[in-house]
Amino acid sequence: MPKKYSEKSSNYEMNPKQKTVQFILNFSKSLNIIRTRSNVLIELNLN
Amino acid sequence: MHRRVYDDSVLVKDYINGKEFALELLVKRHQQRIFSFIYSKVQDKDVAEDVFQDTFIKVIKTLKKGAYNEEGKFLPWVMRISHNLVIDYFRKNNRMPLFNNSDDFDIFSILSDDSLNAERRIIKDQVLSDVRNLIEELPKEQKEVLKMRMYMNMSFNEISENTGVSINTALGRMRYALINLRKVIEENKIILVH
Repeated sequence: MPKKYSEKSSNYEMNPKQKTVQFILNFSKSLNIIRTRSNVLIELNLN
Repeated sequence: MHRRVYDDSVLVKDYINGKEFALELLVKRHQQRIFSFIYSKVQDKDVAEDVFQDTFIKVIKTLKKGAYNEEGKFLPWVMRISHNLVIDYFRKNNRMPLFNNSDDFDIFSILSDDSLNAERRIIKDQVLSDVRNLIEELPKEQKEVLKMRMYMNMSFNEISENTGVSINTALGRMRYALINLRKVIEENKIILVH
């Protein structure tokens, strides 16, 4: 009698929502880091 | 047609040099691995989405600031960030000490961490202040024993000698002090955040 193997659980093969990924990519595009004269970094989120 | 697969280190370099598309490739390449890891810990899809997002926000900021040292280990680095954010999530959500009606509960045990950053130190100071106010609500004998034990670090032997009661009585007063503290906190729905 052939052994029956249960399928590997796919519980932990998950993906984030597309809108989460899109948010990350949009965030990256809108973020600029500039270095001032006193070497301080400023984050700019440009809409 | 031969499709070229770029190594993570190449994509990271491209991204730092301004090629936003490189980030998209990196995210899509590793999203399943990272998201699955986060979900396996937090067991909540919405929370996993938030942690995943926060992970990449940190990644983006570090890369854009030029603070990333490429040693061919992009994925382990991102996994470490997500791991730390998962820990932060659990810490943030562990607001109330466990009220399980056992004598093991000791609010002071959660206030002894000296390695706190500035924000948490402020919170800790506030909690300590709130706890002191609550102790003032206790009956006199219980308050006395609690203060001697917690603030003056006296042994029960010393407390017994100072108050003129037996060690068993001192222990009993301490026990009731903690039970009553718990009751006051529950009745007033006070949240001692740390």
